[in-house]
Amino acid sequence: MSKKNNKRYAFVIEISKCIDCKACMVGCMAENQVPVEHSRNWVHQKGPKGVYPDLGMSFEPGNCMHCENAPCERVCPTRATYKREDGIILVNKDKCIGCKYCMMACPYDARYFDKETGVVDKCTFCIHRLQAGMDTSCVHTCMTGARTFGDLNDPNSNVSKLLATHEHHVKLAAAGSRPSMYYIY
Amino acid sequence: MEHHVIEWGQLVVFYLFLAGISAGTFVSSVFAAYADPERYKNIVRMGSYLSPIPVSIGCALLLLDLGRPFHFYNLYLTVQWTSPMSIGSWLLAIFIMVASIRAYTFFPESWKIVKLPFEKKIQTATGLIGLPIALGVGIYTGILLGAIPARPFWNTPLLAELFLFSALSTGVATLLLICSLNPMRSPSNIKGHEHKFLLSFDIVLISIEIFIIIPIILHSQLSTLSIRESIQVILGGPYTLLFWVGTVMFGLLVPLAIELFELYPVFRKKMHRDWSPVLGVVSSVLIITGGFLLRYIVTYGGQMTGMIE
Repeated sequence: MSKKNNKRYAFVIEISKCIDCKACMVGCMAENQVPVEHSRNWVHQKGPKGVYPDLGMSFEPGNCMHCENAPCERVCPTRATYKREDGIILVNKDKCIGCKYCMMACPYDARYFDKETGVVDKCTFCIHRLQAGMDTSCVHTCMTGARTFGDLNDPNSNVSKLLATHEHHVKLAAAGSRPSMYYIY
Repeated sequence: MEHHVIEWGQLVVFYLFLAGISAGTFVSSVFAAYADPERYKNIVRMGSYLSPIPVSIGCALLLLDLGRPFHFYNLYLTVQWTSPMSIGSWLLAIFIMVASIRAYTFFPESWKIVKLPFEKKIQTATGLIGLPIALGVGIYTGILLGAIPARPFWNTPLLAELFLFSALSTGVATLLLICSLNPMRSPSNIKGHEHKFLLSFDIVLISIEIFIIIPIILHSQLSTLSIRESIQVILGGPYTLLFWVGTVMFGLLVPLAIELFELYPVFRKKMHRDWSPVLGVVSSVLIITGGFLLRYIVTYGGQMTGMIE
């Protein structure tokens, strides 16, 4: 880890705020020119849970979790999938040969194969927007503030504050991939 | 059971199957050469001729499966130790080279364009170098799939063993098929040495496969929920019949029974016998088909499963 760019980007999702409007999905597709049959992010419906009349559903937004111990990065045979110092996992499209092994290895099914380009693609944490000092597209589009994005290494960032004050979980902890996406219920 | 998109389809299944046959024929050829190169002359030769061919076809299919086939050379600009596919692609390239050189040295003199010096030494050397590489080709495909926690149906180290021994068995069966048809009915085969060699080897391999499948099934029942759910693919799910009837019964148990039936009198009564070409063809075709089905079920079934909370 270099001292210069000592960031560690992460998402915090507040499940109770998500209303399943899927604006994050549409926003991402428009921002990143995602082929229409694919999506880089999702909203999973959970439930209904409970006993009548106390029934409830919850909605869990997600996208590539930019894991610390990323299985996709480890299995990539050409090093096309790589991790930046700030934790962002990217696909180098010059090196990718489209073998799809990373798609097998991802516990979250966060990747898709783009038939047009012949390479595998996924969420980039909107790196082009981050570099311009903006929020990611999905955070920007979310009407209810269910998605929060920020730097875990900065104790004053919104994500650090949320994690410090709320009980949180990661998805599929048993996969051992240490995702950078935290869920608050 | 969740349903995911199948990204690795028939091309990959055929590749896994063909690479296995190559590894198996190569290993049989080398074993036969060390056991008795005169007595098993035909196995040594046929195994050497065959071994580079299926894997080369398989690699061509694999290239077609890539999103960008013309960028495959990127595989050979690096070695990624944590990527079974990277290691595997290097193994395949080396294997095809070594197996091709070895095959060439066994060509009849009239076929040879260039006469290589030290042919016997090259045969020994390619056998020695090629053996671990062939075993590597046989086992790495199982590691490729088995090392991924995200696909619980694959995620057992036993998958590597199952693929290896199944690969060897399909390779032996391919030679048995050829042996049972005409080309090997040479004078050296009159006493059936080659038939006996292949049958004995195959009985061991199939038995090992059975004792790999048993713990895979038993372990899955005591393992995490993800694995227990994923094994439903062959325990009530879409591939139940294909696995138990196709792979286990007709791909392993029936050919094992035929081979035992053929070999038993030879060991028991120490007698020579005429090998039945029909039984040889039937058992080898069953084994080869079973090996293909195994790879089909594993490849597709694994992609249908995922981890669950």
